[in-house]
Amino acid sequence: MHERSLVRSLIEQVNEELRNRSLGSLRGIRLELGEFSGVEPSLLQLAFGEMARDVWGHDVKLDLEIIPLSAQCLTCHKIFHVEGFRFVCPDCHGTDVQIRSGEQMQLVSLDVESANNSGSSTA
Amino acid sequence: MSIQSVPVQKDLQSARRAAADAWRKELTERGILCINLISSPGAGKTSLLQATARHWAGTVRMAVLVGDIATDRDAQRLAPLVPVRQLTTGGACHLELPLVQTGFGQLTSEELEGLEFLFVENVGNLVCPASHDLGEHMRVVVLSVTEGDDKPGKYPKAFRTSDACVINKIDLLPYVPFSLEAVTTDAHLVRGDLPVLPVSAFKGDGIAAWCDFLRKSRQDILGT
Repeated sequence: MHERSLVRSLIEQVNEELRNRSLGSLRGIRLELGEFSGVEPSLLQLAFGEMARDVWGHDVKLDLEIIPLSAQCLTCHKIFHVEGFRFVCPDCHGTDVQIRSGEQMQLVSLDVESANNSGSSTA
Repeated sequence: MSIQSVPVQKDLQSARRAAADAWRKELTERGILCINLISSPGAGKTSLLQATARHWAGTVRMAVLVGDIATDRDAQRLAPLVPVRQLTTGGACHLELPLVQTGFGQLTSEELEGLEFLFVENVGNLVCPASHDLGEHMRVVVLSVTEGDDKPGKYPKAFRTSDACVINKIDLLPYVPFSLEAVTTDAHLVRGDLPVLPVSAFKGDGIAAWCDFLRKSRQDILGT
């Protein structure tokens, strides 16, 4: 269970974005999570819920989009969804395959409250 | 007051990956091949390292950083044989790079002199360590025959991200329902080119082949 350390890293990087871009109050985070990222979505949500409230003082919605694990066969070049974590080409049954997608943790966007006086600093 | 969506598109793992790559590069420049050993608790990582150290008997320079949640028992077992530092995670289920670097920093200049192999023995766990790059050149998963031959498919990330698989405790094969052929087939469905090395760290079978594999890997990866 390493989701808490991932959430800590997520929070740090979100705060960095909020600071660098002088964004308003955070309401939501959109994240792409690879099926093979090693992160369990429900545990991530649980850890995030607890830690986000401590950091930002209010609920922040975490939207997860699960990205399927896809690979390419290096023999016949077919791109396929890896079913049941069997890294075998469904066409030529080759096992020399390379992961193309599904390992990522990508911060897509932040939902923030936009104040009318968006240009001024509130720090 | 309205809610606005601000696009970011940032890879959350990029900073950690860059740190691991930089560490790997530094070790490469120093001629040190780093191996991250992962397994479930009790598969025999420490025993494998003891057998490796005994086989090389000082002819190959190795050091060990050993991670555990608590105690320095593994470090005590290895200390008579090789330079070792215990990394205590205080509850964390896996090692992370900063702790490894701290342990490495505690090795003396004599211990680092001519060092060829740095083994990082991870916390016993087949799940979380698979997701953490410690700047190693090779990841080796150790599976013992008492755990069952169905494990590669059950812990695909551990086996997919490993560069070799050691099957330990083969001296117990007559007593347990474990097939070397079945485990190899299962492992190759997860990673088709995974080398499988059967050993008995306790009796010594396969240790020479494992040590040869390590030396050849060092040559291939570091070119020395």
